[in-house]
Order: sequence, then C-alpha cells, then structure tokens
Amino acid sequence: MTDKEDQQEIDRIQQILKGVSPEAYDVIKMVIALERENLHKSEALARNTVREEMVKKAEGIV
Amino acid sequence: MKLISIELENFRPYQGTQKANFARDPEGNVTVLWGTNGGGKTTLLNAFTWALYGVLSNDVENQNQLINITIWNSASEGTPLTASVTIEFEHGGHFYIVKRSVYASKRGGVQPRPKSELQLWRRESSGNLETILNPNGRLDQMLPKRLSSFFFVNGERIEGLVKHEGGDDVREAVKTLLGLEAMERAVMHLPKVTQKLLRGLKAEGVAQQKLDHLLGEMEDAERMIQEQQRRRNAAKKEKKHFDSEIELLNLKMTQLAEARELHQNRYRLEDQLKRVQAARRGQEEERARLVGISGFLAFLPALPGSILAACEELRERGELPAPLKRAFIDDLIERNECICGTPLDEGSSHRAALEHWRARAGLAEVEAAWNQLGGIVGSIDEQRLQMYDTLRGFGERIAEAQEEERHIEHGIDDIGSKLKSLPSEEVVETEENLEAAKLARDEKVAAIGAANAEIQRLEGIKENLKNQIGKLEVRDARSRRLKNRVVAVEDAGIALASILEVLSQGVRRRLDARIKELYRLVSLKNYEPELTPDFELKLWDPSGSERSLAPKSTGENMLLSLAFVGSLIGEAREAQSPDRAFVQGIGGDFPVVMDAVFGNLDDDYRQAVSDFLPRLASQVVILTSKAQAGEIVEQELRPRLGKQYVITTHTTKTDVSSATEMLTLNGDAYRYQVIGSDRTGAELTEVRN
Repeated sequence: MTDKEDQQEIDRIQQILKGVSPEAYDVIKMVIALERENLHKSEALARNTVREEMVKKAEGIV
Repeated sequence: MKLISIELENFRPYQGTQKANFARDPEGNVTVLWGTNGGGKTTLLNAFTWALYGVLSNDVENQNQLINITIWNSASEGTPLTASVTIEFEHGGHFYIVKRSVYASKRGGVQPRPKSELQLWRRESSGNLETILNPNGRLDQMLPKRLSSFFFVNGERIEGLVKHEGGDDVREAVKTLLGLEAMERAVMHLPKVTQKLLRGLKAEGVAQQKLDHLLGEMEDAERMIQEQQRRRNAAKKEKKHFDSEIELLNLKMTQLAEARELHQNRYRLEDQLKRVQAARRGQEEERARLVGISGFLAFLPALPGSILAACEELRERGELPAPLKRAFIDDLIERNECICGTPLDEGSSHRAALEHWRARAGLAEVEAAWNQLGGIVGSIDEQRLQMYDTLRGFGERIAEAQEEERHIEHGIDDIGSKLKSLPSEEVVETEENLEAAKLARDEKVAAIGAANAEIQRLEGIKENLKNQIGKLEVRDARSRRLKNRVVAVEDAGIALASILEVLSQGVRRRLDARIKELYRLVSLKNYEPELTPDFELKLWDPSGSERSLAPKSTGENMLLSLAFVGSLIGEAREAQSPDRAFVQGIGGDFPVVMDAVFGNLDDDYRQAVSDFLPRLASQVVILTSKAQAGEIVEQELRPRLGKQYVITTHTTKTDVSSATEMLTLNGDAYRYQVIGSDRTGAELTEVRN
C-alpha cells in the first residue's frame, strides 16, 4: 500500500537521516539494535543496563 | 502466525488432557467452541495468554488455582501434581511448540503461588524438536505481549477501545506493531546517556569547578522537566476523563426531550463561538506579523527628513552620486589624451593617475543606491501612514469579534440558566454536572498550558547550560572526544524523535484508512469512524449540518473495535513487505481468538459481526455460548466453519434451572451441561462433520 503519502513519509525520514552526521547515524543504528534486543524486558528492568551499554558502545563510534 | 492446536492438561476446569485442533483452511478458517456461561470459555481464552506470556486476565478468579481442583482435592498429601498448556503453531514458515507448566506438591486444600516453567521448541523438517533458548524473548518477538489483547480478545472488554481510556491502549498497540517501541525507548534513554557522558568531562582548575556546577544545574533542570512532564501527563489524563464525561452528558442532554431544543441551540452557539474565535485569532496573528515586519516604521517619523538633508549636503559637495563617470575616463585613456591636452602615454604618470581614478569612479552600486535611497526614504512617511491604517483595521475587526464572542457567550450562559430553571430534575442535574465537568476540564487545560510553559522555560535554561558547557575548555584529548560523542548522541536523539513522530502519524493514517474501509463494509449505520491524531477511536454521525459524535451503541462500538483489530491484522500483514523494512515491526499473518463477542448484541448486529469475523483474519477462533450466538450466528458462520468443539460443563449441583443438557450440531447431539455430575469441570469434544 505504498501511496503518495507513504512515499512522502519515506522522503521525510530520508531527509532527516541525510541531515545527521555519520557518527550520529551510527549512534541511531546502535541504539535501535540495543533497544530491540532488550524489548522483551520491561522498560524499568531494561533502562539501566541499556543506558550503560549505550555509553560503552558510543565510545566505539566517536 | 497460525494456530494448529491447544492442549490443556489438568488446567483449571479442564481435567485430564483436552485438545482442540484449529481450522486452517482459507475457505473454512473459523473454529467455534460452544460452551455455557461459566463453563470454561474464558479459561480457554486465558490458556492462550498464560501459555505464551504467563498472564491471566484480571477477571479470572483465584489466579493461583491453576491445577484442576478435582485432581488437587482427590490427591493425597505430598503427591506431586502438574498442570500445563501446550500450543502448537506455525510462524514464519516454521512450526513451534510452546508449553507452560506448573508443578506443586499437594499440601492442604489451597494451592501455593505457582511458579511456571516455559519451554519452546521448533520442529525440524525431520520431525526432531530443537529447543529454543530465551523462549520469553522469542515469543515476544513473534507476538508481543502488548498486542496480545487485540489478538486474544475478550468481547466484553474490547468495546472499551472506543472509549476515551482506550486511546492509550490503541497508541501502545500501534507502536508495538510497527516496532516503534524500540525507537520510543531510545528517544527516552538518549538524554540520560548524554548526561552520563557529560559527567565524564574533565577541565582545568577553576574551569572544573564551573563544569561541575553547570552539570549539577543541568541535572536539576532535567529533574524539574521530568516533574513537569509528569504533571502534564497526569493533567492530560484527567482532561481526557472530563472530555469523556462531557461527551456523555451532552449526549444525555440531547436525549432529554425537554432540553433537546435548548441544548441544540447551545451546540450551534458553541460552534459559532469557535468559528469567531478562530477568525479573531487569525486577525491577531496577521497583526502580529505586520508589526514584526513593519513595526519599525512607527519609530521613524523624523528620520527620513534627516537622511534626505544629509544626502542633499553630500550631493551639493559633489560627493554623491559618484563624481566621475567611468565611461568618461575610459574615453580619455582610449584617445591617449587628457581633456586638458596632456598626452596619456603607456607607463606615464598622468595615465597612471587617471587609471587610479578610474577604479574609484562611477561605482554603479553607489549610483543605484543613491537613486533608490531617494525613492525609499521619500515613501517612508507614506508606508507608516498605510501601516497605521492597516493596524486600525485589524484593531476594529478584532474588537468586533470580541464583541461578538461576548454576545455568543452571553447567549450560551443564558441557555445554561434556562436549562437549570426547567422543571425536570434530570435536566437540572445533568446541566449542573455538565457545568462542573466543563469547569474541571478547563482547570486541566490551564494546568497543561502551565506545565508546557514551564517545560519550555526549563528547556531554554538547559540549552543555555549546555552551550556554556560546550564553550568550556576541556583538559585533554579524551574529554574533547567525549564532547564530540555528546554531540553525536544528542543529534541522534533529535533525529530519532522526529522519525518517531513521522512514523507514528504515518501508521495512524494507514490504520485510519483501513478502519474506515472495514467499517463501511459491515456497519448498519451511516456513521464515519476515525482514528484521531491522539489515537482515539471515534464514531461520527455526519447526518446533521455539522458532524457530531454518534450516540453510543454497543453494536456499533463492537463493529468499530473489530474494524480496529482487523486494521491491525492488515497492517501486520503489510509490514512483511520489504519496502517497509526501515523499522522492524511485527510482521505476519495473525489469528484472532475471541470470547463473548456476541454478548449484549441484538440479532442485526449478531448477524453483522458473524458476517464480519471470518473476513477479519485468515484464522478465527470463536468461543461462544449457544444462547449468546443464537441461530443467526450459526447460519452466518456455517459456510466458513472449519472445525467445531463443544465444551461440556460438569457440575455436581442438581438444582440447576433452565440448563441445556444437550446441544445438536450437524445433526448429532452432544452433552452441553452435565447436571449432578460426579465432578465439576469441563471437557472438549470435537463435533463430527
């Protein structure tokens, strides 16, 4: 169901992603992957470990 | 996901091993399990969610009593006992078996709080079972728990989706479905990550003290922002509650004959008030724009005269416009002779002097500016007077609108007073409640506004602190890297928040279109459904001059809720397509298991719902009593029936009035209720084709 509005949505997302630095783009990929891994845990349970992990993984990016 | 079978072993009323296989044929995709009220249907629905997620719905009594009570009571002390639910299903081209079990040793009459054990296997093509590690995580990836209430549906509760409080559930479901939950969590976590990173910064001497101080202030600002967000969310929730109450009271008022006319007049006035207010705000915005662009003219009454005088003086001195024309000098150089007769040979000092003058002569920009200046300065007075006129026009129109607003408000108040002086106590009471609810709602609107303003102020403070930290000289290369890291994390957070908004509204739009389409197919009324930008399901009546909320009807609400479930299933199916793979959502074909879906519906709606259900999903399991469904449902569903089961209910009671002891299906009779049985419980029997 890719209509005109779906395409506009895709364009807007691409525009947003074009506007970020390569480092910020890698951070986006990293955090989404990390959150997805921990999605089966409740937010309260996951939050501390996820944030610590993000800090560590950001070191590998910038 | 396609359900293959469910097997219950000593699970609550189901004694021994009871198994049901589900219809999977596209033409005959419906399985019906017929059971009496209180006979084990809701337990069966809960068996699915318990096996997959370990949860039972709140309306299940004695939640610790999972092992069949007859088995428990008849066992001798110390006997190890077990109960389990096993579901076999297919997902993504693989076959899985999930089994949740509880074990307990008999100690007295009350079962201890159960601790369940979950196992998940994948069936290999060879038939061997491969154990899947982290079964909770894997199951949640296939069908997240947050979505389960939309696929394992309690008909008595699903209607709640259409109510205000349903908005949160709908929003959460949509985000989970599209995989936006991960993104949402990331947006929430990234500011905290930034703070953690900033705490690692190191500066020299006094700068370090300042840095510590700034970081402390920033954490305070963040804490205050969170507090304000909490207040705002609480106020929003309460506002929703009052909105819902106002809607109900308004509907009630239109149904009270004595009040109807006055109330409809008030509706009209309220609409008119909204329009006048919107027009006035438009004028105010235009006025603000004009002041922003031309407001400076008000401060220049004497300036144009001074500028012209200064320019005139320059002109009289020959300094403006540029005293020499470039073309004139070019001519002299070309002729190699000055106007005074001096030869202008190549390399001569006279020629060099003229060339020097040429560079400064007749600057086109200066001449153009001179010409423009005269025109612009001359028209300033005129522009100022024109601005005053336009402003006066805005002022007059705004004042007129304000006067009209006052007049309409007076009319609305007047209607309120008239309603309160009507002889009907019900009208007076409803009007008083309506007034109180509107007042309370307005207070919440003010609280939301105050929290928003405070959040904006605190965000400004935080931004300022961040800038100050950014300007501090850090001590070493590590801290400099850290600063860059902070920038990348912040940018990522901002970009993700924007993407989240785009995707949320995108999926809302798609679901809205699907709901409209599905609802149109099945509705018995000419209503229009809408999934609002706040993710609330609304039903509108477009028959009047202005659309209004449709009167509450259990049947229409049920159809709308089912249309929403159908739209979720459609969106999940669509999410499998590769061009939608930006965020990994929940993709696939999902079944729907529904309990008590026909309760409280009249025959027209039973027919409409039973016509709709087989089209809702590629696999549908319906749990219903014969009394709830009636003949109409059986007739409607017959062409799509793949499998049928009877849940036979056993009770030791002998004085049950109006029991249906036998059920006839496909020409065969089945035991439905066994009165005066030797046990209390339920068993499944497949209906022969």
